[in-house]
This record gives sequence, C-alpha cells and structure tokens, in this order.
Amino acid sequence: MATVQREGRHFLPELLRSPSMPTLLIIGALAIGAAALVPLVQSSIATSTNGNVHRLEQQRDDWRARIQELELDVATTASLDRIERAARTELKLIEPTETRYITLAAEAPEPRKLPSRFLPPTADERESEPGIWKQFLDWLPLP
Amino acid sequence: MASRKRRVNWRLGAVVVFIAVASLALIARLVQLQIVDHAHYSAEARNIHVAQETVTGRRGALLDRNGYPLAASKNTYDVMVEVKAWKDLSKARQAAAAIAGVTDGDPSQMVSEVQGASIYEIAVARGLNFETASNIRELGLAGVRLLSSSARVYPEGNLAAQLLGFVGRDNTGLTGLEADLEAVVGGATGTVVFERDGLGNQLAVGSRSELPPLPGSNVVLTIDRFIQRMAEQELDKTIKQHKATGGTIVVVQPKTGEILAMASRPTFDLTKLDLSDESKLALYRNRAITDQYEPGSVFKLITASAAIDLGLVSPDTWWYDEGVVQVDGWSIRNWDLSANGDQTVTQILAKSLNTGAAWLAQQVGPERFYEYVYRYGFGEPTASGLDGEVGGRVRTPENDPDNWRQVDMATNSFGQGISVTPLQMAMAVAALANDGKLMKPILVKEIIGPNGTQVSKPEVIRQVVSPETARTLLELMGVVAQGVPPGFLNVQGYTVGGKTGTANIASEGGGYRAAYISSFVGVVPLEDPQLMIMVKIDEPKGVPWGTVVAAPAFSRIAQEALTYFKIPPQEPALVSGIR
Repeated sequence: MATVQREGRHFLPELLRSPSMPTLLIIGALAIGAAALVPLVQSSIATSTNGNVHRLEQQRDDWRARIQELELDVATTASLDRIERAARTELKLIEPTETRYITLAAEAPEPRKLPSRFLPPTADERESEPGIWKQFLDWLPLP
Repeated sequence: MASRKRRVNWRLGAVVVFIAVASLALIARLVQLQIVDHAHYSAEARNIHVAQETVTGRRGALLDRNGYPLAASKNTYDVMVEVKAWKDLSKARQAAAAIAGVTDGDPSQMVSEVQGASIYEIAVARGLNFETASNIRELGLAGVRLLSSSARVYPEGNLAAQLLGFVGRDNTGLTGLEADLEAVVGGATGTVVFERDGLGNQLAVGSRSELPPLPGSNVVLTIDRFIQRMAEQELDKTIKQHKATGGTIVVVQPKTGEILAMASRPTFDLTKLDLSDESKLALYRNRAITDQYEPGSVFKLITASAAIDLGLVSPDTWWYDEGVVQVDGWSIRNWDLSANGDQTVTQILAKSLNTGAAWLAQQVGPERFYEYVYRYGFGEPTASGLDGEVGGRVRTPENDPDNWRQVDMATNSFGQGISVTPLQMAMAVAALANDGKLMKPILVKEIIGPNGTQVSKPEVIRQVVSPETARTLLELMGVVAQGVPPGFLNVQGYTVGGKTGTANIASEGGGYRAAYISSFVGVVPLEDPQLMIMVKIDEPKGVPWGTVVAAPAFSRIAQEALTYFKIPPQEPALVSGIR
C-alpha cells in the first residue's frame, strides 16, 4: 500500500521535477518560438482570407458586369426594330390590310409590370432599422 | 620611434577625418531625403504603393412607360498602363502587341501614347466588354490593370434621340433628358484608396479605404416606345413623300398631360456621335420645345374658343363674309381669296376663313384676346422641365405698345404674326379635349431610387375656358374633320376632331417667303378624347395644305394608337375597315 502511494506522488519524470538550467532554457526558447509563431500564423490566415475576399469581390464584380451585359442583351433583343425585322424576315408576316374590332365581355389583361431590375430594392435588401436597444445606447451620452 | 608614432597618428587622424566627412555626407543626404525633399519622395512612394480610384455609380436607366429601357448603362473596362512599366521599349512593344491582339488596337500607337505621357498611368484601350477585359486580365502583364468604367447603351437605337440626349465620356449628360435629369440618374462617384503590388493589383493585406458610389435612379418616362417609333416612322414617311425639310409630331394624353411621343426631324445618330462637327449641333436640339413657328389656321381654335367662352358668339352665330377685312389700312383676305357671304361661326372654322377669324378677334377685343392667348400657355414655356424650352413670341399692346397695331391681332387670330412651339400648340388643343383644363406636360412618370419610388401626378395649370366651351369647340373640330376628304383623314370606327393649318414662314428680313408649315392637330375619340396628336411638317414641296400633307400622318397614327391602347370604337358591334 505504501509503495503504491510513493509511486503515485512521483509519476512526473525526473526531468520535470527538478529541471536543469539548459532544459529550462530550451523550454523557454520553444515557448518564445511558439509565441512568435502565433502572430505569423494569424498574419498568414489574415492574408489568405483577405486574398479570398478580394478574389470573391472580383468575381462578384465580374458577375455583376456579366449580368448587366445580359440584361442589355435581353433589352436589345426585345427592341421594336428587331421584333419587326424578325416578323418580316423569319416569320414572313405582313402589315394587316383589314382591321376588325370585336368587343369582348372579358377583363383586359393586367398592364405590363416593370422588370424587377428597375424596381427599388425589397425591404429585406435595405438596411434594417436599428433595434430599440441600439437606439437607446445611441441616445445615451456615452463616450 | 617618434617619427613612426607621428606617422601612425597622421594615418589615424586621416581615417577619423574620412569617417567624419563620410558621416556628415551621409547625414546631409539623409536630411535632404527625409526633410528637404520629404514631400517629393513621400508623394512618389505614395504613387508607387497607394492607388486612388474613382468609382462611378451606375447611371440610372431611362425607361419607356412600360419599362423598356431607352437608355441604360453597362459596365465596361479601360486598360490602364503604368507609364514607368513601359519604359523599356522592347518590353513595351511585347506588352502592347499582347493587348492589341485582344482588343484589335494599334500596338505602335499604344506604345507611343504611353511613352509620350507625363502622367502616372494612361488608358490604352477604353470601353471593353466583359469578355475582352477578362482576356486582358489573363495576360497578367506587369503595370497593366483594368479600370472599371461604364458606357451608355440605347437598346431601341436612335429612338427619341433628341428627347433623350446623350452623355459625354465622363458619363455626364450633355443634352436632352440625360442632361436635364443629371441630378437624378447621375448618381454619385465614390473613391477607393488602396495599396498595390508591382503589377498594380491591390495588396491583400494592404490598407484600403472606400467611399462607395451611389447608383443613379431609374426614370420611367411617359413616352411609349411603340407610339414614339410610329410617330418617327410616320414623320420620316411624310417628310420623304412631300420632300419637306423637317417636322415634329407630339402625342399627348389630354386628361393627364402625359406625353406619349415627341418626335422631331432632322435628327442624329446616337451611336455615331461626332461632337467636333459643329455643323451637326443643330440636330441635337429638341425642336418640339426649342423651335417656334407661326401656327397658321390651327390658331383659329383659340380665337373661336375665346369668343364663345365670353358668350359673344355661338356656333350658329351668323356673320357676313365679304372676302376682305380692312384693318389699319391692311386688307385681310381668305386663303383662297373667296367671299362666302352669310356664314356661321362653325363655317368659319370648317372653311378656315381668315376674315372670319379676324372678325371673331375684333368681337373679343385685344385685351381679352391676348388674355386668352396667355391662358392657353402661349408666350411662356410650358413648364415641361426640359432645358432650352422657349416661350414663343406674342406681341401685345402691353409688351410692345410702340409697334403693336390692330392688324397684329387680326393676323394673330388666324395664327400669323405669333410664334409658338409645337408643344405649346399641342397642350393648348389638349386643354380643349380636357374640359378646358390646361395640364402641365409630363415627361417623367416615375423616379425609382434606392429609397423608393416617386410618382408624377397630373397637374392642372389653369382652367382656360369653361367645360361647355371646350365641348363646343370639340364639336366644331368634329365638323372640321368631317370636311376633310376621307382619303386624307379616316380613322375607321372612331370619330375625329381636328383642325388643319397652313402657315407662311416668316423671313428673317421681315415679311414672308414662299414656303409653308403644314400642320394638323386632332383628338380621338371625339366623344371622350384619349389622344391628342399634333403633326407639323416644315416646308413641304408641291401642295402645302395641312389637309394633304399632315392629316394623313395623323390618321395613320391615330388608327394604330387606338388599337394599341385598346380603346374601343364607338360602335359596340363588329367594326371592320380596309386600310
């Protein structure tokens, strides 16, 4: 029983129980090195993240530009000149020579709505109103 | 031994002196670099490491009333070259050749432009689309970067060119609505300041500050692209048919004052602008608001409405036409030199008698006649909001007492000796079709910005004549239109009201020259006017009468527009017509 207790008190290696000066110096150097490595790693992560952000921003801008080009392609495709040209040349349509008006007891179709790209942003896209606590904190004369 | 020691001391002294001088020189140089030339070197360092970029907000689009873009912006890219990076001629040529291979530019011109530049960086290619810009980026050339820019695009081509106007290279509106609405569609520029690497690209860990740009608002116009295009096509057709020098067509919704079309000729090509050619400057103006003309017999509507509104005459009032009216020693005669005997006021308009119009004006008297002229909006701009709008010229006993004569009112009564703009004339006749209420012309229907939408509302400027007078005038216009041969005016299924005008053109030296302005103003359907169409043709060759020249264009536009707007004909049953 006594032997078991003695072994339990001295389970750490001898080196750590009474370290010599060189050992302490090595441990200290390693600790300092590790501490110095932390900002390096942080800096590396920050650089990498910033790089990713810029790359994604670039991609976002490129896609926006591409979307704008496509929107204008759509608009140009829907131009009256093109529609008339397609009607005359591809569909071989001609101007009507006779006009007939027939009054129907039916509701007129809804007027065309503006394409969404020209409408103001929806509510969730806009900057949301500050919360009541934020307004209260802003109101307080805090530095 | 002593001499050796002296030699050592001398050498040591020389070394010390040398070190001291060198140190002083070093210190002096440091002082020069860091204190004396601090500003210069810090600026140079800033130029190398820090870039400032102006970012333009996307310019708002100009849309027709149904949302189809008439003018919109798209992102483009300019290729910027750092001048220092192309100092080496052989490297510069290689880089220029690579860029030119993508942009189809001239590499030698690029090199000469860059090497001759005294600024930090210069654009060697502008307005590239997304794909071309991507190809340039993939080249990875040192000292070459892409600057985001934008270009104005007109999906409907030259439609409403004078009304829309155009923007300059800096994306600022120069003419037309582009200039008038600059504060609305222009947005605000932003700035990005960032540190960059040797290739000119932004450093991932460099400092960066950004003032984001504000996009411009989209503007929905009252113009309908279909009606505008039809008006322009009819204008072109009429001008060609009658070998005219130009013309204007305005289409208005009388009840709201909304302008559906405003077309003028001659015009210009929006996509091939040459601002250096001064001879083309006249083409840029919107003639519907900048050009004034003598309206001729169309103005008899104004004279007749004044006399009827004052209760001086009714459509059935009789008057005896001797074929000539003497005023201030001048003889006023009818356009066909006819003497028609007993005539009613209705016949004065139907036969377009100058003598009858002069008689009506004499009944009204100068003070009240010009009061009505001003109430209709003549003599002042219509408040359309378009820059460059003129107010016309109305000479009255008040504003020109030395030169005004009774004969002026007599000639004014049938639209000579008075100048108006096509828009003024259109809005005045539209007032008759709107129970006598003169509306403010509206061109901007909605402004759609980031914070919501502003909607224009119809605005009554004033009640010009009573609703009863206005309706009487409409009936008279209906009688006038019935007198026009169907070959010139025939809108199947609808009743039309209108008035023709054929006016002499005043010469610069006084008097009139042998040239005419033919016009027709009309409303449809007469029972409940939905459209007011004004057609004015300048200097047609051959027969100049408004009936022959302008009425057919009105007729075709009215027929198509009524169908387009789904305005049912008067007859509820099936109506058909051969065109």
